Amino acid sequence: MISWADAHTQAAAQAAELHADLDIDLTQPVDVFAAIERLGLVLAFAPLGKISGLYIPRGRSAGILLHQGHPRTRQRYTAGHELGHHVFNHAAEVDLELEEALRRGDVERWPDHEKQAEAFGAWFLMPRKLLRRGLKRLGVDRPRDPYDVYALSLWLGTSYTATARQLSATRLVDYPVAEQWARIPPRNVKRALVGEMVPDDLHNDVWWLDGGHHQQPVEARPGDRLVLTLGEIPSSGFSWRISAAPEEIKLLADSYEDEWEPELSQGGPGLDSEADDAEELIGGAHPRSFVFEVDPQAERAIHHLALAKDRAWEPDRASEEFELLVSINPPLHGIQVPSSELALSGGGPTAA
Amino acid sequence: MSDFRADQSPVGDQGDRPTCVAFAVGGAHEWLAADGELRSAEDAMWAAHQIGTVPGREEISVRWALEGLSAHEHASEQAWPYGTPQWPAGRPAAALGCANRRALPAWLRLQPLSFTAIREQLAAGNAVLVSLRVVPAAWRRPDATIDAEPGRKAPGNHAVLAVGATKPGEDPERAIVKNSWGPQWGRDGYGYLTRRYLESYGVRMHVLEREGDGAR
Repeated sequence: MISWADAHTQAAAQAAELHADLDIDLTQPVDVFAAIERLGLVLAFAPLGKISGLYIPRGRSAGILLHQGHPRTRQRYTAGHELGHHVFNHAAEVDLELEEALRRGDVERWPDHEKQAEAFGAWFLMPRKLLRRGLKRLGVDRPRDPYDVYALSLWLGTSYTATARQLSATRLVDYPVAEQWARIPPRNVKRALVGEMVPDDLHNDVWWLDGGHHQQPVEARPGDRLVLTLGEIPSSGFSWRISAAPEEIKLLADSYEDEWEPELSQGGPGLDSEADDAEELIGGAHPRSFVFEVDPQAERAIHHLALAKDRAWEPDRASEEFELLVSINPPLHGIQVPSSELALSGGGPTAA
Repeated sequence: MSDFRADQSPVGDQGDRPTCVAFAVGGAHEWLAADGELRSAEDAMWAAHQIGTVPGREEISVRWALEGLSAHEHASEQAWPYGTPQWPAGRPAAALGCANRRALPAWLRLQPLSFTAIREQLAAGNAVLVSLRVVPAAWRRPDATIDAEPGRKAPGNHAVLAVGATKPGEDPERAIVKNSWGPQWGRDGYGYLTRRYLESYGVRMHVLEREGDGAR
Protein backbone atom coordinates (compact mmCIF):
# COMPACT_ATOMS: atom_id res chain seq x y z
CA MET A 1 0.00 0.00 0.00
CA ILE A 2 1.37 3.43 -0.90
CA SER A 3 1.39 6.24 1.60
CA TRP A 4 -0.49 9.48 1.11
CA ALA A 5 2.84 11.24 0.80
CA ASP A 6 3.81 8.96 -2.10
CA ALA A 7 0.39 9.42 -3.68
CA HIS A 8 0.81 13.18 -3.52
CA THR A 9 4.29 13.02 -4.98
CA GLN A 10 3.10 10.92 -7.91
CA ALA A 11 -0.04 13.00 -8.39
CA ALA A 12 1.78 16.33 -8.30
CA ALA A 13 4.08 15.14 -11.09
CA GLN A 14 1.20 13.78 -13.19
CA ALA A 15 -0.85 16.92 -12.70
CA ALA A 16 2.06 19.18 -13.65
CA GLU A 17 2.60 17.09 -16.78
CA LEU A 18 -1.04 17.37 -17.79
CA HIS A 19 -1.06 21.12 -17.08
CA ALA A 20 1.86 21.43 -19.48
CA ASP A 21 0.41 19.09 -22.11
CA LEU A 22 -2.88 21.02 -22.18
CA ASP A 23 -1.12 24.39 -21.83
CA ILE A 24 -3.33 25.30 -18.89
CA ASP A 25 -3.07 28.85 -17.54
CA LEU A 26 -2.28 28.52 -13.83
CA THR A 27 -3.03 32.13 -13.04
CA GLN A 28 -6.74 31.38 -13.24
CA PRO A 29 -8.89 28.59 -11.76
CA VAL A 30 -8.44 25.40 -13.76
CA ASP A 31 -11.37 24.50 -16.03
CA VAL A 32 -11.43 20.77 -15.36
CA PHE A 33 -14.49 20.20 -17.54
CA ALA A 34 -12.69 21.74 -20.51
CA ALA A 35 -9.64 19.60 -19.76
CA ILE A 36 -11.79 16.47 -19.79
CA GLU A 37 -13.22 17.55 -23.13
CA ARG A 38 -9.77 18.15 -24.60
CA LEU A 39 -8.72 14.67 -23.56
CA GLY A 40 -11.61 13.29 -25.59
CA LEU A 41 -13.56 11.96 -22.61
CA VAL A 42 -17.34 11.98 -22.44
CA LEU A 43 -18.61 14.13 -19.58
CA ALA A 44 -22.18 13.66 -18.35
CA PHE A 45 -24.35 14.72 -15.41
CA ALA A 46 -27.21 12.73 -13.90
CA PRO A 47 -28.95 12.16 -10.57
CA LEU A 48 -26.73 9.63 -8.81
CA GLY A 49 -28.12 9.38 -5.29
CA LYS A 50 -25.26 8.68 -2.89
CA ILE A 51 -22.71 8.48 -5.70
CA SER A 52 -20.53 11.51 -6.41
CA GLY A 53 -19.09 10.32 -9.69
CA LEU A 54 -18.11 7.45 -11.93
CA TYR A 55 -15.18 6.79 -14.22
CA ILE A 56 -15.66 4.45 -17.18
CA PRO A 57 -12.45 3.44 -19.02
CA ARG A 58 -13.75 2.16 -22.31
CA GLY A 59 -11.39 3.21 -25.09
CA ARG A 60 -12.83 5.96 -27.25
CA SER A 61 -16.02 6.10 -25.19
CA ALA A 62 -14.24 6.51 -21.90
CA GLY A 63 -16.04 9.00 -19.77
CA ILE A 64 -16.90 10.60 -16.47
CA LEU A 65 -20.37 10.84 -14.95
CA LEU A 66 -21.04 13.36 -12.19
CA HIS A 67 -23.94 13.91 -9.78
CA GLN A 68 -26.03 16.70 -11.32
CA GLY A 69 -27.39 17.83 -7.94
CA HIS A 70 -24.06 18.62 -6.32
CA PRO A 71 -22.68 22.18 -6.11
CA ARG A 72 -20.49 23.13 -9.03
CA THR A 73 -17.47 23.28 -6.74
CA ARG A 74 -18.08 19.72 -5.64
CA GLN A 75 -18.68 18.56 -9.21
CA ARG A 76 -15.36 20.04 -10.25
CA TYR A 77 -13.62 18.36 -7.38
CA THR A 78 -15.20 15.01 -8.24
CA ALA A 79 -14.31 15.57 -11.89
CA GLY A 80 -10.69 16.08 -10.90
CA HIS A 81 -10.78 12.88 -8.86
CA GLU A 82 -12.30 10.88 -11.74
CA LEU A 83 -9.77 12.42 -14.13
CA GLY A 84 -7.13 11.07 -11.77
CA HIS A 85 -8.44 7.56 -12.33
CA HIS A 86 -8.08 8.17 -16.06
CA VAL A 87 -4.56 9.58 -15.84
CA PHE A 88 -3.39 6.66 -13.70
CA ASN A 89 -5.07 4.14 -16.04
CA HIS A 90 -7.29 2.76 -13.31
CA ALA A 91 -10.19 0.39 -13.86
CA ALA A 92 -13.84 1.51 -13.70
CA GLU A 93 -14.63 3.29 -10.46
CA VAL A 94 -17.78 4.28 -8.63
CA ASP A 95 -17.02 6.93 -6.02
CA LEU A 96 -19.46 7.48 -3.20
CA GLU A 97 -19.58 10.58 -1.01
CA LEU A 98 -15.96 11.65 -1.44
CA GLU A 99 -16.20 14.79 0.68
CA GLU A 100 -17.84 13.06 3.59
CA ALA A 101 -15.27 10.30 3.44
CA LEU A 102 -12.57 12.95 3.64
CA ARG A 103 -14.20 14.60 6.64
CA ARG A 104 -14.59 11.27 8.46
CA GLY A 105 -10.83 11.11 8.52
CA ASP A 106 -10.41 7.39 7.75
CA VAL A 107 -8.39 8.20 4.66
CA GLU A 108 -5.45 6.02 5.69
CA ARG A 109 -7.51 2.95 4.80
CA TRP A 110 -8.23 4.12 1.27
CA PRO A 111 -6.87 1.80 -1.46
CA ASP A 112 -3.91 2.95 -3.51
CA HIS A 113 -5.90 3.88 -6.62
CA GLU A 114 -8.24 6.07 -4.58
CA LYS A 115 -5.32 7.84 -2.92
CA GLN A 116 -3.77 8.50 -6.32
CA ALA A 117 -7.00 9.78 -7.83
CA GLU A 118 -7.75 11.93 -4.83
CA ALA A 119 -4.28 13.44 -4.77
CA PHE A 120 -4.36 14.01 -8.52
CA GLY A 121 -7.64 15.89 -8.33
CA ALA A 122 -6.21 18.12 -5.66
CA TRP A 123 -2.97 18.87 -7.50
CA PHE A 124 -4.69 19.32 -10.84
CA LEU A 125 -7.17 21.87 -9.47
CA MET A 126 -5.01 23.36 -6.73
CA PRO A 127 -1.31 23.48 -7.55
CA ARG A 128 0.67 25.54 -5.06
CA LYS A 129 1.11 28.40 -7.55
CA LEU A 130 -2.64 28.76 -7.98
CA LEU A 131 -3.30 28.57 -4.24
CA ARG A 132 -0.82 31.36 -3.67
CA ARG A 133 -2.49 33.46 -6.33
CA GLY A 134 -5.90 32.91 -4.75
CA LEU A 135 -4.60 33.88 -1.31
CA LYS A 136 -3.07 37.02 -2.77
CA ARG A 137 -6.49 37.94 -4.14
CA LEU A 138 -7.86 37.56 -0.62
CA GLY A 139 -5.15 39.89 0.63
CA VAL A 140 -3.39 37.31 2.78
CA ASP A 141 -0.25 35.21 2.52
CA ARG A 142 -1.74 32.31 4.43
CA PRO A 143 -5.37 31.50 5.27
CA ARG A 144 -6.34 32.65 8.74
CA ASP A 145 -9.49 30.68 9.36
CA PRO A 146 -12.14 28.47 7.71
CA TYR A 147 -13.71 31.56 6.15
CA ASP A 148 -10.56 32.19 4.14
CA VAL A 149 -10.53 28.54 3.07
CA TYR A 150 -14.15 28.80 1.96
CA ALA A 151 -13.50 32.03 0.04
CA LEU A 152 -10.45 30.45 -1.59
CA SER A 153 -12.43 27.36 -2.55
CA LEU A 154 -15.10 29.51 -4.19
CA TRP A 155 -12.53 31.30 -6.29
CA LEU A 156 -10.76 28.08 -7.22
CA GLY A 157 -14.06 26.36 -7.92
CA THR A 158 -13.12 23.50 -5.62
CA SER A 159 -14.74 21.94 -2.60
CA TYR A 160 -14.15 23.43 0.83
CA THR A 161 -12.93 20.18 2.37
CA ALA A 162 -10.53 19.34 -0.44
CA THR A 163 -9.16 22.87 -0.40
CA ALA A 164 -8.45 22.68 3.32
CA ARG A 165 -6.57 19.41 2.85
CA GLN A 166 -4.63 20.66 -0.16
CA LEU A 167 -3.46 23.67 1.84
CA SER A 168 -1.75 21.17 4.09
CA ALA A 169 -0.35 19.09 1.21
CA THR A 170 1.19 22.24 -0.28
CA ARG A 171 2.49 23.23 3.20
CA LEU A 172 0.65 26.51 3.23
CA VAL A 173 -1.10 25.45 6.44
CA ASP A 174 0.15 23.12 9.16
CA TYR A 175 -1.36 19.65 8.98
CA PRO A 176 -3.23 19.66 12.34
CA VAL A 177 -4.85 23.02 11.59
CA ALA A 178 -5.84 22.03 8.06
CA GLU A 179 -7.28 18.74 9.33
CA GLN A 180 -9.31 20.58 11.94
CA TRP A 181 -10.67 22.97 9.30
CA ALA A 182 -11.35 20.13 6.85
CA ARG A 183 -13.59 18.38 9.38
CA ILE A 184 -15.95 21.35 9.56
CA PRO A 185 -18.95 20.74 7.30
CA PRO A 186 -19.16 23.55 4.70
CA ARG A 187 -22.78 24.21 5.69
CA ASN A 188 -21.51 25.23 9.13
CA VAL A 189 -19.13 27.73 7.54
CA LYS A 190 -21.98 29.15 5.46
CA ARG A 191 -24.22 29.45 8.51
CA ALA A 192 -21.48 31.14 10.49
CA LEU A 193 -20.87 33.65 7.70
CA VAL A 194 -24.42 34.80 7.10
CA GLY A 195 -26.58 33.37 9.87
CA GLU A 196 -30.23 33.49 8.95
CA MET A 197 -29.37 34.54 5.40
CA VAL A 198 -27.93 31.12 4.60
CA PRO A 199 -29.33 29.63 1.35
CA ASP A 200 -32.53 27.62 1.66
CA ASP A 201 -30.70 24.72 0.04
CA LEU A 202 -27.38 24.29 1.82
CA HIS A 203 -25.87 22.83 -1.34
CA ASN A 204 -25.90 26.39 -2.63
CA ASP A 205 -22.90 28.61 -2.03
CA VAL A 206 -22.40 31.86 -0.17
CA TRP A 207 -20.19 34.20 -2.18
CA TRP A 208 -18.24 36.48 0.13
CA LEU A 209 -17.41 39.62 -1.82
CA ASP A 210 -15.87 42.99 -1.07
CA GLY A 211 -14.47 46.01 -2.88
CA GLY A 212 -11.64 43.89 -4.25
CA HIS A 213 -14.16 42.13 -6.47
CA HIS A 214 -14.94 45.31 -8.41
CA GLN A 215 -15.42 44.43 -12.09
CA GLN A 216 -14.66 40.77 -11.33
CA PRO A 217 -16.75 37.87 -12.59
CA VAL A 218 -18.63 35.57 -10.23
CA GLU A 219 -19.92 32.21 -11.41
CA ALA A 220 -22.98 31.56 -9.28
CA ARG A 221 -25.76 29.02 -9.44
CA PRO A 222 -29.47 29.64 -9.01
CA GLY A 223 -30.20 29.83 -5.29
CA ASP A 224 -26.71 31.05 -4.32
CA ARG A 225 -26.30 34.02 -2.02
CA LEU A 226 -23.97 36.93 -2.70
CA VAL A 227 -22.79 38.80 0.39
CA LEU A 228 -21.19 42.07 -0.66
CA THR A 229 -19.44 44.17 1.98
CA LEU A 230 -18.33 47.69 1.09
CA GLY A 231 -16.83 50.47 3.14
CA GLU A 232 -19.02 53.46 3.85
CA ILE A 233 -18.58 56.57 5.97
CA PRO A 234 -21.99 57.33 7.48
CA SER A 235 -20.76 60.75 8.62
CA SER A 236 -20.02 61.83 5.05
CA GLY A 237 -23.54 61.63 3.60
CA PHE A 238 -22.21 59.36 0.85
CA SER A 239 -24.17 56.14 0.78
CA TRP A 240 -24.13 53.00 -1.36
CA ARG A 241 -27.21 52.43 -3.48
CA ILE A 242 -27.98 49.78 -6.06
CA SER A 243 -27.79 51.48 -9.43
CA ALA A 244 -28.39 48.44 -11.63
CA ALA A 245 -29.69 45.00 -10.71
CA PRO A 246 -31.45 42.40 -12.87
CA GLU A 247 -34.66 40.72 -11.75
CA GLU A 248 -32.72 37.50 -11.23
CA ILE A 249 -30.66 39.05 -8.42
CA LYS A 250 -32.79 40.17 -5.50
CA LEU A 251 -31.72 42.15 -2.42
CA LEU A 252 -32.55 40.20 0.75
CA ALA A 253 -30.89 42.29 3.46
CA ASP A 254 -28.94 45.48 4.05
CA SER A 255 -26.91 45.57 7.27
CA TYR A 256 -27.52 49.34 7.60
CA GLU A 257 -31.29 48.91 7.56
CA ASP A 258 -32.04 45.38 8.76
CA GLU A 259 -31.23 43.55 11.97
CA TRP A 260 -29.04 41.07 10.13
CA GLU A 261 -25.25 41.41 10.54
CA PRO A 262 -22.57 39.42 8.70
CA GLU A 263 -19.62 37.72 10.33
CA LEU A 264 -16.80 40.17 9.59
CA SER A 265 -14.09 38.66 11.76
CA GLN A 266 -12.33 37.49 8.61
CA GLY A 267 -10.99 40.96 7.95
CA GLY A 268 -13.75 43.09 6.51
CA PRO A 269 -13.31 46.83 6.38
CA GLY A 270 -13.81 48.95 9.45
CA LEU A 271 -13.21 46.34 12.11
CA ASP A 272 -13.66 47.46 15.67
CA SER A 273 -10.41 48.56 17.19
CA GLU A 274 -9.29 47.30 20.54
CA ALA A 275 -7.68 50.61 21.38
CA ASP A 276 -9.08 52.33 24.46
CA ASP A 277 -9.60 55.55 22.54
CA ALA A 278 -11.52 53.89 19.71
CA GLU A 279 -14.89 54.46 21.33
CA GLU A 280 -14.29 58.21 21.27
CA LEU A 281 -13.57 58.29 17.57
CA ILE A 282 -16.19 60.06 15.52
CA GLY A 283 -16.99 59.89 11.83
CA GLY A 284 -15.15 56.78 10.68
CA ALA A 285 -15.96 54.12 8.12
CA HIS A 286 -18.33 51.33 8.95
CA PRO A 287 -18.75 48.25 6.75
CA ARG A 288 -22.06 47.89 4.98
CA SER A 289 -23.13 44.46 3.79
CA PHE A 290 -25.77 43.52 1.26
CA VAL A 291 -27.16 40.02 0.80
CA PHE A 292 -28.43 39.17 -2.67
CA GLU A 293 -30.16 36.00 -3.74
CA VAL A 294 -29.73 34.56 -7.20
CA ASP A 295 -33.25 33.56 -8.22
CA PRO A 296 -33.56 29.77 -7.80
CA GLN A 297 -35.38 29.69 -11.16
CA ALA A 298 -32.83 31.84 -13.00
CA GLU A 299 -31.73 30.74 -16.45
CA ARG A 300 -28.19 30.68 -17.76
CA ALA A 301 -27.09 34.28 -18.37
CA ILE A 302 -24.53 36.90 -17.46
CA HIS A 303 -25.87 39.83 -15.44
CA HIS A 304 -24.49 43.18 -14.41
CA LEU A 305 -24.92 44.21 -10.77
CA ALA A 306 -23.84 47.76 -10.02
CA LEU A 307 -23.76 50.03 -6.98
CA ALA A 308 -22.85 53.68 -6.69
CA LYS A 309 -21.78 55.56 -3.57
CA ASP A 310 -23.26 59.02 -3.74
CA ARG A 311 -25.43 61.49 -1.88
CA ALA A 312 -29.19 61.44 -2.33
CA TRP A 313 -29.17 65.16 -3.08
CA GLU A 314 -26.25 64.94 -5.52
CA PRO A 315 -26.88 61.68 -7.44
CA ASP A 316 -24.59 62.62 -10.31
CA ARG A 317 -21.53 62.95 -8.05
CA ALA A 318 -20.61 59.38 -7.08
CA SER A 319 -17.43 59.07 -5.05
CA GLU A 320 -17.07 55.39 -5.85
CA GLU A 321 -18.68 52.72 -8.00
CA PHE A 322 -18.80 48.96 -7.79
CA GLU A 323 -19.68 46.50 -10.53
CA LEU A 324 -19.98 42.75 -10.53
CA LEU A 325 -20.44 40.44 -13.50
CA VAL A 326 -22.60 37.59 -12.26
CA SER A 327 -22.59 34.56 -14.51
CA ILE A 328 -25.50 32.31 -13.60
CA ASN A 329 -24.90 28.66 -14.38
CA PRO A 330 -27.87 26.39 -13.71
CA PRO A 331 -27.15 22.74 -12.89
CA LEU A 332 -25.81 20.69 -15.78
CA HIS A 333 -27.86 17.74 -16.99
CA GLY A 334 -27.06 14.92 -19.36
CA ILE A 335 -24.07 14.53 -21.61
CA GLN A 336 -22.09 17.74 -22.06
CA VAL A 337 -19.00 17.19 -24.14
CA PRO A 338 -17.57 16.41 -26.52
CA SER A 339 -20.30 16.64 -29.10
CA SER A 340 -18.41 14.28 -31.39
CA GLU A 341 -19.00 11.56 -28.81
CA LEU A 342 -22.72 12.10 -28.46
CA ALA A 343 -23.47 9.21 -30.83
CA LEU A 344 -21.73 6.88 -28.41
CA SER A 345 -23.79 7.91 -25.43
CA GLY A 346 -26.00 4.84 -25.64
CA GLY A 347 -23.06 2.68 -24.61
CA GLY A 348 -21.48 5.35 -22.44
CA PRO A 349 -21.44 6.21 -18.80
CA THR A 350 -25.11 5.64 -18.07
CA ALA A 351 -24.56 1.97 -18.69
CA ALA A 352 -22.23 1.78 -15.71
CA MET B 1 -36.03 80.03 18.88
CA SER B 2 -32.44 81.18 18.91
CA ASP B 3 -30.96 81.10 15.43
CA PHE B 4 -27.33 82.08 14.75
CA ARG B 5 -27.08 80.87 11.17
CA ALA B 6 -26.49 84.42 9.96
CA ASP B 7 -23.33 84.57 12.09
CA GLN B 8 -21.76 81.48 10.60
CA SER B 9 -19.01 81.01 8.07
CA PRO B 10 -19.99 79.26 4.79
CA VAL B 11 -21.07 75.62 5.12
CA GLY B 12 -18.16 73.32 4.23
CA ASP B 13 -18.13 69.98 2.46
CA GLN B 14 -16.05 67.16 3.86
CA GLY B 15 -16.65 64.97 0.80
CA ASP B 16 -16.32 61.23 1.28
CA ARG B 17 -13.83 61.48 4.13
CA PRO B 18 -14.11 60.88 7.91
CA THR B 19 -13.41 64.50 8.75
CA CYS B 20 -16.69 65.72 10.27
CA VAL B 21 -15.02 66.53 13.60
CA ALA B 22 -12.47 68.78 11.89
CA PHE B 23 -15.24 70.70 10.11
CA ALA B 24 -17.37 71.02 13.26
CA VAL B 25 -14.45 72.28 15.33
CA GLY B 26 -13.41 74.65 12.54
CA GLY B 27 -16.93 76.01 12.27
CA ALA B 28 -17.06 76.62 16.02
CA HIS B 29 -13.70 78.41 15.98
CA GLU B 30 -14.70 80.57 13.00
CA TRP B 31 -17.97 81.54 14.69
CA LEU B 32 -16.39 82.60 17.98
CA ALA B 33 -13.45 84.39 16.34
CA ALA B 34 -15.73 86.17 13.86
CA ASP B 35 -12.68 87.42 11.97
CA GLY B 36 -13.82 86.26 8.54
CA GLU B 37 -10.96 83.80 8.31
CA LEU B 38 -11.69 80.13 7.59
CA ARG B 39 -9.94 77.52 9.74
CA SER B 40 -8.26 74.53 8.12
CA ALA B 41 -10.00 71.18 8.58
CA GLU B 42 -6.84 69.47 7.42
CA ASP B 43 -4.89 71.21 10.18
CA ALA B 44 -7.46 70.05 12.74
CA MET B 45 -6.96 66.47 11.53
CA TRP B 46 -3.21 66.85 11.85
CA ALA B 47 -3.41 68.44 15.30
CA ALA B 48 -5.78 65.76 16.60
CA HIS B 49 -3.44 63.02 15.46
CA GLN B 50 -0.63 64.64 17.42
CA ILE B 51 -2.65 63.76 20.53
CA GLY B 52 -3.89 60.32 19.64
CA THR B 53 -4.32 57.90 16.78
CA VAL B 54 -5.65 54.40 16.25
CA PRO B 55 -3.65 52.45 13.66
CA GLY B 56 -5.47 52.15 10.39
CA ARG B 57 -8.09 54.71 11.33
CA GLU B 58 -8.20 58.23 9.93
CA GLU B 59 -11.04 59.57 12.04
CA ILE B 60 -10.42 61.51 15.24
CA SER B 61 -12.18 62.30 18.48
CA VAL B 62 -13.46 65.76 19.36
CA ARG B 63 -11.23 65.75 22.42
CA TRP B 64 -8.11 65.02 20.38
CA ALA B 65 -8.95 67.82 17.98
CA LEU B 66 -9.52 70.33 20.78
CA GLU B 67 -6.42 69.27 22.71
CA GLY B 68 -4.31 69.26 19.54
CA LEU B 69 -5.44 72.68 18.39
CA SER B 70 -5.01 74.08 21.89
CA ALA B 71 -1.41 72.88 21.86
CA HIS B 72 -0.50 73.71 18.25
CA GLU B 73 -2.99 76.49 17.34
CA HIS B 74 -5.28 76.34 14.32
CA ALA B 75 -3.94 77.15 10.87
CA SER B 76 -6.06 79.02 8.38
CA GLU B 77 -7.73 77.32 5.43
CA GLN B 78 -5.64 79.49 3.16
CA ALA B 79 -2.45 78.16 4.75
CA TRP B 80 -3.58 74.54 4.46
CA PRO B 81 -6.49 74.12 2.03
CA TYR B 82 -8.63 71.02 2.38
CA GLY B 83 -7.00 68.03 0.71
CA THR B 84 -3.86 69.82 -0.45
CA PRO B 85 -2.12 67.91 0.88
CA GLN B 86 -4.40 65.52 2.69
CA TRP B 87 -3.61 64.34 6.20
CA PRO B 88 -1.45 62.28 7.11
CA ALA B 89 0.84 64.74 5.40
CA GLY B 90 2.50 67.10 7.85
CA ARG B 91 1.76 70.78 8.15
CA PRO B 92 2.81 72.60 4.98
CA ALA B 93 5.22 75.51 5.30
CA ALA B 94 2.46 78.13 5.23
CA ALA B 95 0.69 76.47 8.18
CA LEU B 96 3.92 76.49 10.18
CA GLY B 97 4.07 80.28 10.15
CA CYS B 98 2.74 81.86 13.37
CA ALA B 99 1.00 84.55 11.35
CA ASN B 100 -1.26 81.93 9.80
CA ARG B 101 -2.34 80.25 13.04
CA ARG B 102 -4.86 81.31 15.68
CA ALA B 103 -5.21 80.21 19.29
CA LEU B 104 -8.24 78.10 20.10
CA PRO B 105 -10.70 79.43 22.70
CA ALA B 106 -11.07 77.54 25.98
CA TRP B 107 -13.18 74.42 25.74
CA LEU B 108 -14.75 71.81 27.97
CA ARG B 109 -16.70 68.61 27.75
CA LEU B 110 -20.33 68.88 28.83
CA GLN B 111 -21.87 66.14 30.89
CA PRO B 112 -24.51 64.89 30.81
CA LEU B 113 -25.57 65.41 27.24
CA SER B 114 -28.97 67.12 27.11
CA PHE B 115 -31.11 69.36 24.98
CA THR B 116 -31.38 71.86 27.83
CA ALA B 117 -27.59 72.11 28.03
CA ILE B 118 -27.38 73.01 24.34
CA ARG B 119 -29.95 75.73 24.80
CA GLU B 120 -28.15 77.13 27.85
CA GLN B 121 -24.72 77.10 26.24
CA LEU B 122 -25.98 78.85 23.13
CA ALA B 123 -27.67 81.46 25.32
CA ALA B 124 -24.33 82.00 27.05
CA GLY B 125 -22.73 82.75 23.70
CA ASN B 126 -20.80 79.50 23.42
CA ALA B 127 -20.41 77.11 20.47
CA VAL B 128 -21.66 73.57 21.05
CA LEU B 129 -20.17 70.55 19.28
CA VAL B 130 -22.55 67.59 19.25
CA SER B 131 -21.55 64.00 18.49
CA LEU B 132 -24.34 61.67 17.44
CA ARG B 133 -24.84 58.14 16.22
CA VAL B 134 -26.13 58.11 12.65
CA VAL B 135 -29.42 56.53 11.65
CA PRO B 136 -28.86 57.02 7.90
CA ALA B 137 -32.48 57.50 6.88
CA ALA B 138 -32.94 60.20 9.52
CA TRP B 139 -30.42 62.42 7.73
CA ARG B 140 -32.08 62.16 4.33
CA ARG B 141 -35.47 63.67 5.10
CA PRO B 142 -36.53 66.34 2.57
CA ASP B 143 -37.69 68.74 5.31
CA ALA B 144 -34.16 68.76 6.82
CA THR B 145 -35.48 67.40 10.12
CA ILE B 146 -33.10 64.89 11.74
CA ASP B 147 -35.36 62.52 13.59
CA ALA B 148 -35.83 58.81 14.29
CA GLU B 149 -37.61 56.76 16.87
CA PRO B 150 -35.37 55.15 19.52
CA GLY B 151 -33.93 51.72 18.85
CA ARG B 152 -33.11 52.11 15.15
CA LYS B 153 -29.89 50.75 13.76
CA ALA B 154 -27.18 53.43 13.85
CA PRO B 155 -24.07 52.14 12.03
CA GLY B 156 -21.80 55.15 12.47
CA ASN B 157 -21.41 58.47 14.22
CA HIS B 158 -21.08 62.09 13.23
CA ALA B 159 -20.22 65.52 14.63
CA VAL B 160 -22.09 68.76 13.95
CA LEU B 161 -22.15 72.28 15.34
CA ALA B 162 -25.30 73.51 17.12
CA VAL B 163 -26.17 77.08 16.11
CA GLY B 164 -29.68 77.50 17.41
CA ALA B 165 -32.35 75.94 19.61
CA THR B 166 -35.99 76.29 20.49
CA LYS B 167 -36.79 78.19 23.66
CA PRO B 168 -38.51 76.53 26.65
CA GLY B 169 -42.13 75.83 25.86
CA GLU B 170 -41.68 75.88 22.08
CA ASP B 171 -42.91 72.76 20.34
CA PRO B 172 -41.47 70.76 18.66
CA GLU B 173 -38.17 71.03 20.51
CA ARG B 174 -35.24 71.01 18.14
CA ALA B 175 -31.78 72.43 17.61
CA ILE B 176 -30.42 73.94 14.41
CA VAL B 177 -27.18 72.22 13.43
CA LYS B 178 -24.56 73.18 10.88
CA ASN B 179 -23.51 70.12 8.89
CA SER B 180 -20.45 69.59 6.69
CA TRP B 181 -22.18 68.06 3.67
CA GLY B 182 -22.19 71.19 1.55
CA PRO B 183 -24.90 73.84 1.12
CA GLN B 184 -27.07 71.53 -1.01
CA TRP B 185 -27.93 69.34 1.99
CA GLY B 186 -30.91 70.18 4.22
CA ARG B 187 -31.73 73.89 4.40
CA ASP B 188 -28.68 75.51 2.84
CA GLY B 189 -26.46 73.06 4.70
CA TYR B 190 -28.31 73.21 8.05
CA GLY B 191 -30.70 70.71 9.65
CA TYR B 192 -33.19 70.58 12.51
CA LEU B 193 -32.17 68.07 15.15
CA THR B 194 -35.10 66.89 17.26
CA ARG B 195 -34.82 66.47 21.01
CA ARG B 196 -35.91 62.86 20.55
CA TYR B 197 -33.00 62.13 18.19
CA LEU B 198 -30.51 63.90 20.45
CA GLU B 199 -31.64 61.99 23.52
CA SER B 200 -31.80 58.66 21.67
CA TYR B 201 -28.59 58.90 19.65
CA GLY B 202 -26.47 61.64 21.23
CA VAL B 203 -22.96 60.60 22.23
CA ARG B 204 -21.06 63.61 23.58
CA MET B 205 -21.09 67.40 23.72
CA HIS B 206 -18.17 69.78 23.87
CA VAL B 207 -18.29 73.56 24.24
CA LEU B 208 -15.97 76.26 22.93
CA GLU B 209 -16.31 79.21 25.25
CA ARG B 210 -16.69 82.76 24.10
CA GLU B 211 -14.32 85.18 25.80
CA GLY B 212 -15.86 87.78 28.11
CA ASP B 213 -19.58 88.14 28.55
CA GLY B 214 -21.00 86.55 25.45
CA ALA B 215 -24.52 86.06 26.69
CA ARG B 216 -27.11 86.24 23.90
